Amino acid sequence: MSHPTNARLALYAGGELGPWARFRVARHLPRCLQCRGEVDEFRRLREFLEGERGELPAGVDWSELAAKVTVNVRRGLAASQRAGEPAWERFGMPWRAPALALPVLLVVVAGWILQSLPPPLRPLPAPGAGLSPVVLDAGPAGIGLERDGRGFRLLHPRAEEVVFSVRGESVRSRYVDGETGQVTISHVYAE
Amino acid sequence: MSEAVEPVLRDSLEWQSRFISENLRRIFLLIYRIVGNVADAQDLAQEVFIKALQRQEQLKETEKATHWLSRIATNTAIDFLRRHGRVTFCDVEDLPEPVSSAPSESPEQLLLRAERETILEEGLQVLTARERAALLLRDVEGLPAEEVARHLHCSQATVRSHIANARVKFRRYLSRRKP
Repeated sequence: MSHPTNARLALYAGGELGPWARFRVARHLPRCLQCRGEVDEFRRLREFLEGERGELPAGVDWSELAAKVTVNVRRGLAASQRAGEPAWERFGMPWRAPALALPVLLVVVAGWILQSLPPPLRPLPAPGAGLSPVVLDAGPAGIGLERDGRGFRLLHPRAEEVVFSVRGESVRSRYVDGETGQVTISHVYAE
Repeated sequence: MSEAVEPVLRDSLEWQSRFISENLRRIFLLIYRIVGNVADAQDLAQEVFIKALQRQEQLKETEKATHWLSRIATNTAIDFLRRHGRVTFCDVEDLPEPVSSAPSESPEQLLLRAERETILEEGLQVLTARERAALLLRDVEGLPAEEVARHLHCSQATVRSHIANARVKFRRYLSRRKP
């Protein structure tokens, strides 16, 4: 006679076997004293375990332990709620955030305005403040200006007929290009 | 001071206290049976209630809340064992003197209770963490096998195997223990 395994008998005792397996074990048990004994033992084990449901381990003062756990749970929940809040609210300072943000905002805005302004102009030195006068020059090669050995000249090398005119602090030239016949007028101002 | 607390908050605190007191003993014992140590079980029970109460809105249905709490407790205890190695029940000799939680108990009853406790702890010690959790949920907590499978995130076949192994090992321990 083949016997069901111990694992199968254990599940039979707890009612966890499927219908077919349960039927086969149930059919075997009336004919087998040994397996019936095993099933009874497993049932007794289950009853023993069920009876231990509410039993506390020795040495545990339940009221003290329960009070401690309750207090610690409260603390833990409060801490976790606080951890979810912004820092200033955690420290009870709801007005601090705007107060801290305002100066920062002002600095940023001021920086932006200053950056967008054109660069400051350097003031020109007063006329004649330690500098030699500007010399306007007009000649067959062109017109230009010069100060302390530095200056520039607008040339008109292919000009056939050049008319110069000097007015105040400026010199003007008008000429016709020999090859193209184009009329060019140049002005040089000195300040 | 308590008058300054808003009614909603006060209700919430009262509800939390009731929820803890109704479930603490069961959850503590479930964890204790898995980890085998009172101090660890106490810490883990706190952790479980904090986790659960952080999602307080999901706990309104009592039946579901109870199952959900057991599930969190089982997984927290198994995770703890995974992190800290095998369960270590302390020796009976190392335990402090029993506190008279039931003063009416006679010395014989106390002795019998200590004996049963030793059997339970030693029997659970021979099981793996998952076998222990499956056995406790099924035979101590009385959950159906399908629910145990959901708690342990495994198939029903696996959980049946855990339960069967656990009962067979426990039985073997008991028969070895008999004089």
